[in-house]
Amino acid sequence: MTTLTQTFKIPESIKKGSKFSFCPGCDHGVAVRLVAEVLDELGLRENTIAVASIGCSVTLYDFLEVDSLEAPHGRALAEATGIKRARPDKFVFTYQGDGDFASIGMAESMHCALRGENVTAICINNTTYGMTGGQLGPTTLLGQVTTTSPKGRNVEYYGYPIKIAEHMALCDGTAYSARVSLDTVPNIRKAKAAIKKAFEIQLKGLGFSFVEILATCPTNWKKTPQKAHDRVREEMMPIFKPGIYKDITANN
Amino acid sequence: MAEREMIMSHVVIDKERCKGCYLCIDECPKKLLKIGKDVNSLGVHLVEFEDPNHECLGCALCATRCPDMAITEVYKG
Repeated sequence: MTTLTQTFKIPESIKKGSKFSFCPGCDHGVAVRLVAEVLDELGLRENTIAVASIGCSVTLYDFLEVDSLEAPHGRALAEATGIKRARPDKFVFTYQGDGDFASIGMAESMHCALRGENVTAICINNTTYGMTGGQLGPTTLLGQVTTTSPKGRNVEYYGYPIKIAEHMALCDGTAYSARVSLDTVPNIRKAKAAIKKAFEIQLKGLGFSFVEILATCPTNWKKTPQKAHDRVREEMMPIFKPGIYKDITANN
Repeated sequence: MAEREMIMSHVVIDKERCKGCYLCIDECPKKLLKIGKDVNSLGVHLVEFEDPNHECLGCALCATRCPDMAITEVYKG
């Protein structure tokens, strides 16, 4: 008799019966699932404190079966610092959007990396403020039309977008900084490997680890989920190049 | 479901999780997923899995792509 092997199941770290509140086709769901899968694989569920931020990632605690705190806007890594210093035995990670991480929380994020806090940050980059209705964010690409840049982002008025993974890699306290994309299934697998690597760096106590995830926002980009993935590939990935920008374990 | 089908590779779709983004349809290498006639409580035309010739590989590409974990289980036979 042939036996069936299960090749996919809902991760145990996802709350039973919970449903994602994201828009149809939004890559946030994939990112949360990857985090849950890695928590399962490393057996961290019972020993984790997650810090949710403001943005579409705000309801993370509704989906993940781990202890979690809700940080004020941008201050997720400041809270994570406090948690990790009070409870160094716990595994602490933040889950933030690009507006939260690199605009409102830039100081907290950068100084957390400079202090080399032994926490992990996951940042979803969708080049816009998703939850509040698609305003211009710190990562909005040049020429991109948003509700607050109706003629497209121009350098004279709005300046340049920030490349977060590169900036984090420049901080001496950072042990790992990578940028991944969720546009295709092979890239989803690479994204999972990067998240796992970042989590392992924290478990080894090597310092700050960071993963930037390029994701879609079909609602605010006003594109179908399929076309939104094309945009990630054609417009975002040439500027926000995926790759590992810093990995202090690479030479060992 | 017939006993014969139970030992073949197949996917399980949670109808209430599906939001109708249809990303899984492009992902399936055997084109076994399609937009069906049934709707769920969101009013979304659900994705249907039809595999009359037992072509499913159990590769889970569809489930890996699905942002809402609507494809809850994948089995490889």
